Formats: sequence, C-alpha cells, structure tokens
Amino acid sequence: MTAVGDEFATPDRATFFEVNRTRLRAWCWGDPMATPVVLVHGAYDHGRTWDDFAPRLAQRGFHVVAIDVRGHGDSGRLSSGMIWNASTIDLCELARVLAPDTPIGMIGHSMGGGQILTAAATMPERFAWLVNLDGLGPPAEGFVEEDLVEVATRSLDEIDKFRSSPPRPWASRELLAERRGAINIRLPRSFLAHLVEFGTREVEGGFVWKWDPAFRTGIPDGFSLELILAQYHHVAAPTLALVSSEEDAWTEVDDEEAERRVAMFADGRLESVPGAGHYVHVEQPDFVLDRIIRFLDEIGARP
Amino acid sequence: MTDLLILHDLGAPGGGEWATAFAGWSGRVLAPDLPGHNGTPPPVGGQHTAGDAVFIALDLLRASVPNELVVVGVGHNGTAAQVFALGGRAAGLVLVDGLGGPWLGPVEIDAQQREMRRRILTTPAAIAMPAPGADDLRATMVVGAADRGFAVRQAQAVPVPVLVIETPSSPTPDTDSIVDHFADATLSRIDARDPARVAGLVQSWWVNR
Repeated sequence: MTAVGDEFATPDRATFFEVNRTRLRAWCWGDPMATPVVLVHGAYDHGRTWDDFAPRLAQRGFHVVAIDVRGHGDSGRLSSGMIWNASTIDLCELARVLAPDTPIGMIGHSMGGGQILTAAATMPERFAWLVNLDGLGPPAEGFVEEDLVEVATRSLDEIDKFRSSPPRPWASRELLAERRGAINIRLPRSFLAHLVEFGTREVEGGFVWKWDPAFRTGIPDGFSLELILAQYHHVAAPTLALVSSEEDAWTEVDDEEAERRVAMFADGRLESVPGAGHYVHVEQPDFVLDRIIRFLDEIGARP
Repeated sequence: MTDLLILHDLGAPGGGEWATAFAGWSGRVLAPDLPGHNGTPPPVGGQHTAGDAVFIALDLLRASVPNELVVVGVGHNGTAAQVFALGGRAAGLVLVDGLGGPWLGPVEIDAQQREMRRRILTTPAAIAMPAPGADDLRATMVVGAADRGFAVRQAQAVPVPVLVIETPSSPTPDTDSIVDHFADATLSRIDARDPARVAGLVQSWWVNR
C-alpha cells in the first residue's frame, strides 16, 4: 500500500468488470483469492471514497472490491439518471463474476446501501450478508406529492440543459471541495480533498465532477415508501444497518422509522453509530469495522 | 402549423409505420426509431427506461424550429408523451393504449420489478450487448406503469386537450374512469392498433378542435 498524504492509502489493484452492458471500475484491496466483499458508494461519490476503510477490511482477510457505480467515477456512462434497476442488476452480476458458486457479502453507503438491498431482494441466492451504512431510504415525509406540472417542466428543462451543453467547469479543485463541504458539513477537509482529487477530471477552463450529468436527470414516476418497504420484505440475507446519530445532510430517517424499516428484513440488525453523521464509515471507521466483524462472527461469515 | 411527434411502443417495429400513416399531416411528422429499435443503438448502459423516448425526442426538437406540437404516445411510451404535455411542450396529447395498467398495489409492483430484473439476469441475450442493427430483446422486458394513483394524478394535471384511443390490446382495465380525470379528453375505441386508423382519428380530432 502507498500512503497518500498522511491519511489515505492507494488500492492494491485497479481493474474493470464488464457486466450488464456496462463497465464498472473496481479498486481492489487484499488477497484476490480471499473471500470477496463489494463496497458500493453513495450518489455523486466514487470507489476511492473507501480508501481509508477498505484496507482496514482487507486486513481482516477479505478481498475488498470497491466499485465506481455506473455513471460515477471511471465507470460506464448513462442515458438518464433512472439507474436503479440497471445498477442493481450490475451488483447481482458482479457477485456472480466474483464468486460464481458462492454467495458474497456487500457493504453499501447511502444510495449504495439501498442498491445492495434491492440487489439482494432480486437474487437472494447471490448474497451471503449485507451491511447498510445510513442507506435506509428517504424519510416518509420525503415522499410528498409534488405538482406534476412543475416536476415535468423542471425535468425537461434539466434534460435539455445537460444534452445541449457540457457541465460548467470549476476554477479549482479547492472550490469543488469547498462546495461539497457546504453540503456534507461534517466531512473532514482531508476527506473532501481526497473525494475531489479522485472524483473530478480536468477540462478546458477548470475541473468537473466525473459523475455523469445524466445522473441528475429523469422523469416523474410513482416511487413511494410503500414500494421500498415491499422490497425490504424480500431481503433474506442477514443484514446489519448502521445509522448516523448526528444531524447531517441525508440523515432524516429517525430511530423509530429506521427500526420499522429494518424489521422488514428477514434477519435484520440495527445500530446507531455514536458521533457520526451520514458518512458513518468515514467519521467512525473503527466503530463501524468493529460492528461489522462482530456481525460476521455472529452469523459465522468471518473469513 | 402543428407538428407531430410520435413515440412508438417499446418492442414495436419502430417509427416508420407511423410516419407512413401520418404522411398526410400538414405539419412535420417526427417519428423516430427509439433506442434499441430498427437499428438505433440501445440506450447508453443498456437499460431501457420510460425516460429514453423523452431524451431522444428533446434532441430532435432542439435541432429544429419549434412549432405547435401534438405528441402521440403509443403503449409504454404513453408515459413519455404525458411528460411533454405536463411540462408545457405540447399543445395536444394523444394516447394510444397509453394510459398504463394493469393496476397493481406496491407489493405487486415490487414483485413485478423483481421478476423483470431476474428475467434479465437469467437471459444471456438480455445481459449481452445486441449485435449492431439488431432489435434489442431488452426493450420487450420493460414493465408498464402500474400505479393507478399516479396515473390519476397525471391525468388530473395534464393541461392540454387529450385524445385517448383504446384498442383490445390496451392494458388499462378501467379506461373510462381514468379518462374522466383529464380536464379535456375525447375517448375513441377501435378494434386494432392500426396506424392508418389512428392517423385518421387524430387528424379529425385536431382539425375539428
């Protein structure tokens, strides 16, 4: 491992997996012959956001594969932001490619946490266990019935904008880190700098995020909390949900609601991470790793 | 001058048969072969969504001088056509078997979507890229709009006149009750999804308005 600054390591290997009509960038850690575990990041992030956490997990005997989700980082591009089905099919296929005859574990943060649940509900036979990091979906109040004329007008305007002009470059990576820090207010500056370093590319006039601008676009649909809960009912693999304890962006699911959702899983466990906002694994990596190892011991899945 | 945008159904032959049927339309007729159909490459990343037709149509419209527009959505692409009407880009909306359905509750919708993903995962030709120029099998594996509550909300919000054409192929079990939610709708029933007959109905409806 090579140290980046004082805090982050460089993955042992970088590769691509061709699955489901796309190409997923994968950052790999540990012995490739060891038991695989896949790490799935959240929206607008990338696989290098695990550079602190992944080597800790690899040291526990795993082959850790941290992917860039389609439309993010170096992975394949999108036609629109309506990626949920495609991304979850990607995860099911990746599980088969990594371990054709054995179900594997996956750890997902935020959007990635939701995607591993959908994937496991789709192909239970490919998933041995799941860890969901603050990714139990939007709060019930988030499903408001918006004015469909306004939503459709906004959608069409956004699609027009991204299809007709390239994203606006930012003058420096520092500016991008500052802007992201204004949203994720609890993230340390060093992590923000790391996220930006590997999540952006240089273009004429400055820097742009690597995530596909199409990811922000879609059309109105009937997505609902009832659909999320119906899907959770089909998550059969033992699942540990670790949720934030501190107020932060995207931490609106309260304790009672989190318990209600985790109770839908066939074998679910819920724990709050003290002193952590939305990025529980970034803020409290030792605690998160400890709870994951305990969970794997409990279910007999520790390598 | 009124232009016409026709969004053909998923898994259908393409836009050509509709362009031919509407050859007598006084304005321009835009009837693209949508992604994965009739030689058009599949969507980037391979997954068909209800948004694909919207993206392609916006590209077409951006490339031309906009006139008043009537949007025709056939089958699955009734959803995309309604987005144009809701978003202020259409003066009229035509839905050919395009209201959605059969209606399902959340548990059944989830089951349907899981089944779709499993079917894709267990069909090697659906996971692999189709040969260049070939129709995409995956375009036939899309599930339809099944949330009746959402369909009603859409109908209530559509601010333009609507012609609803229903054939025996329609998946909608309660057409009359959905049509009642549009502010200004005309319902016609024909015995087959025949582009020439649809064209006749649309011409007559629009001219007589």
